[in-house]
Amino acid sequence: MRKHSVWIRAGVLVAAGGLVLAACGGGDDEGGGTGGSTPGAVEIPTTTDQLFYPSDKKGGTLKALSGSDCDSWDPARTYYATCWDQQRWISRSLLNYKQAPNSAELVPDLATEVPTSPDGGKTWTYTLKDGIKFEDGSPITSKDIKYGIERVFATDIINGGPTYVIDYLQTEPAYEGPYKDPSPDKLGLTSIETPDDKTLIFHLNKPFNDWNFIMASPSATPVPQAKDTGDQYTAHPVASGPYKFDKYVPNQSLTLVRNDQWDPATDEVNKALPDSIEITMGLEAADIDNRILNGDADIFLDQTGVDTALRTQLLSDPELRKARTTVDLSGFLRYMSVTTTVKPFDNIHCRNAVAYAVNKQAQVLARGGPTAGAPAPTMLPPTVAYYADFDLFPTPNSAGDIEKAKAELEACGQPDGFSTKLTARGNRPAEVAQATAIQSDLKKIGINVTIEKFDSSQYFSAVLGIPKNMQDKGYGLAMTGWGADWPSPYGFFSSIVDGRKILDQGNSNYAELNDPVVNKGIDDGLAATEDGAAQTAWTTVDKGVVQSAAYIPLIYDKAMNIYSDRITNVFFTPGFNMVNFAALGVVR
Amino acid sequence: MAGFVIRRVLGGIVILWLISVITFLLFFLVPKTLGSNPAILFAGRSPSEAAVAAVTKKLGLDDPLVVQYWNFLKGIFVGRHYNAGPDTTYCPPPCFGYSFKNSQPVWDEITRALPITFSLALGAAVLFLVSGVGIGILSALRRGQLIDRAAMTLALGAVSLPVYFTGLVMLLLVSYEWRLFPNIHYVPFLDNPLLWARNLLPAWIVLAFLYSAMYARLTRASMLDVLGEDYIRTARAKGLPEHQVVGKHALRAALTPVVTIFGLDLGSLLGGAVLTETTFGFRGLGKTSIEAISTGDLPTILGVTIFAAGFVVLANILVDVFYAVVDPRVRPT
Repeated sequence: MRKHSVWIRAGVLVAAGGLVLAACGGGDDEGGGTGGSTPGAVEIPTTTDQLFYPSDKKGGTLKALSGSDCDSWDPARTYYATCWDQQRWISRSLLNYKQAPNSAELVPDLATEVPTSPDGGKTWTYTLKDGIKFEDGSPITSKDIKYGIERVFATDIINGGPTYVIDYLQTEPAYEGPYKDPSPDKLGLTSIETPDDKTLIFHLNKPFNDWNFIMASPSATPVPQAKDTGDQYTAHPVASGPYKFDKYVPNQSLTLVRNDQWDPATDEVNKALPDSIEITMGLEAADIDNRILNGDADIFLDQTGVDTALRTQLLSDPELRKARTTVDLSGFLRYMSVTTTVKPFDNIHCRNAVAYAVNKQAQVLARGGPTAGAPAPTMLPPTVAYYADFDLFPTPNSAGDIEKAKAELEACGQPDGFSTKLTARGNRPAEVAQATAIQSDLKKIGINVTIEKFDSSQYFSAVLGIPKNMQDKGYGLAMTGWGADWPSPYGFFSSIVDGRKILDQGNSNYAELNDPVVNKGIDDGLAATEDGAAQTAWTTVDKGVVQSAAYIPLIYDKAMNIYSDRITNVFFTPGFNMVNFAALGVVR
Repeated sequence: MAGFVIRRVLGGIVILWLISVITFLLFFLVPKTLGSNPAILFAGRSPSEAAVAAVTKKLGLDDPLVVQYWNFLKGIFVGRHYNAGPDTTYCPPPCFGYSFKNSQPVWDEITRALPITFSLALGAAVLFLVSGVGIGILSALRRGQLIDRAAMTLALGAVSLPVYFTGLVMLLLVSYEWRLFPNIHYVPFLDNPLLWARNLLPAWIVLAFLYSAMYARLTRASMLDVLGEDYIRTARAKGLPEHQVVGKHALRAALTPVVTIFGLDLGSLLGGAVLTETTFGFRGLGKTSIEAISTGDLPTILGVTIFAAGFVVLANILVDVFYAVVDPRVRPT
């Protein structure tokens, strides 16, 4: 009996582990594998081009659900797109994104205007508005914003968030954050000047025309020094936005209530419609869908789309689909890197062969069909500025071209094909399905692919991020995906294709592409001051990357999301790569 | 008897110690031998080398493994300071490690999850013990009759159905379809006992469904065994009323193995009912550990594992002692 019951429980536990891991890995996975059912022409509201259920009515409680708690509520330590979006309920930055569908336009938030740099991107000056206050009533000054940025430099305590401010503001000798700051006011970072309480002057160590985007990210959130609790700050970040923490139980729930010190007259961006916001965390995907479907909740904050079961139901119920869902581009590109330092992929013709052989329609199906994505001919997704449509490896219906692929193999001197390895995240079913589809595509031209699976927690740090490891193990192909930290082509490209950013550890240019045309294009694009030049430069980069076949764009990700029947102001903001939460209301 | 208890407790401590050594090695040595530095996991996304070095120093990952383990063990009793120059993070005793992912001592995680796991385990235990034993006795007394066969068939079904199935069916019916228990979430007992019970009830029933089936089968088998014993025949022969034969003589003997199993089951349930907690979104020890595993939060995995193992070891000791009290034959072992 004992043995029996132990056996049962062990089985249950393993099953549970699998279930949960699949769900967690699902983070940005649209669903399991096979896809099979092509729903034909599905008419689904798309937030990327319009605003749904506009309303200015205040009141009510927005009930939100999430698969897990934020990586951190500390503005300096959060890196999940959904959490940056949620931050806007409680915190304001110098700048913000305009609240309009698919708008990457920056507007002033705590600052009075969006500045331009007088010297080609090295100096940036911001002036603060009057009447801006923290939740405790104390005024927000330029020093609070400087202090908030300084915290990012204390990487041994404040880590996990983006470190762009360190890249551009680090001084000589290196600043190590306010906790080790010898100056009495802890404001020793010389690259930021605060001549008075209203003015901030940034002196960057190199020109950077995208700086305003960084100042629209949580890194530019004011933090009052007196209330800074170091690595505990996530327990109660001091609100500068329209809502503040009321009750927070980490990993379980968070209630936000109105911040009575927030003055709507100082804020053109936030409408702050709901009276309160309740977030319930750590729920299972199917449970989340059903709660929203039944009106127990309004929105799924992860915005990774509905689970397989509900998707099937929605695809067969046009009325429900129209009334309760939207399909959103996620600003995320699924692509495959072809390691240029692993033979025979050092030869461009062998890479071209792969680029021609891949069936992108099969990739879309592997991720769950047209509601999960669209075939991608370019690296830049359509949500990023300066996106241009082109196809350098045209194949019939994006389904691959065996003849052209074989001709390239011939040119590569491998007419009979060869063997190579493809890496993927084993706990992401859709990615494994993608890898399997590629395996069968390449089989057709004689390339035998062995799929090697890794856990997602180790995938980038221990496998793809170490070039020597890729070379030693002979990982010629790798499945991956990427979304930009801000909706500009520089934000999208800089760390993944710049040949000068290949690192021994923590590398993001997995294919080790080092193409002078691409590198120069990035510099040109960054330096460009007018739209025409920028467009030319970034299209050159995009084309250069695709042409190199070191990276093969596969899918522009999409997600079909479900909402309650009372939610208002649903639209997509590229800066968060999802629906803008701060605009949502619950009274129609 | 006192010697026996002391021996058992000491044995339990040794086992716990071994578990702590093995889990510690598993989570800190294995990543190291595979060439990945655990500090990278703590230092955030694409950290700089300086940040990794600082975190390594702070967590003491550059110390010899024995020292690291000793610091961990010591922390449980006296607390621990994580130092990196002027910046110090204090983890008060009992310090089961410090989760740098959640920026809090693992002990806080455990104490937050524990009431949920307790509520779930104890409520379910009451349900499955009463119903399981009741059905088992009834089945044994009505052996071979319709009620026995029906109950045992049902029990076979219940044992075979996994919690992730019954749990989802339960949610579908009572929460989504009939709306009897909408929007299930954990409410602390002290906040509102009524809401506490209301939110937990579906989960209790799901857990109890599985367990009571096992207990019904166990009780029935054990009861039938005992009812065939000579002393029961003697009791009946000397004219004791049936309720006394069953209630006083048979039941007491039949329940001994049931109580044994119950102790062990409760021990492992208190370590976290992973599936039930996950299905219903209750963040008890089980769900906490699963989340820690998926996010690579090593200190939390280590702390929760040792803590959950503690429950199982404790339950084993209690069962052993209980057995020794009931049955003197086991004492010398």
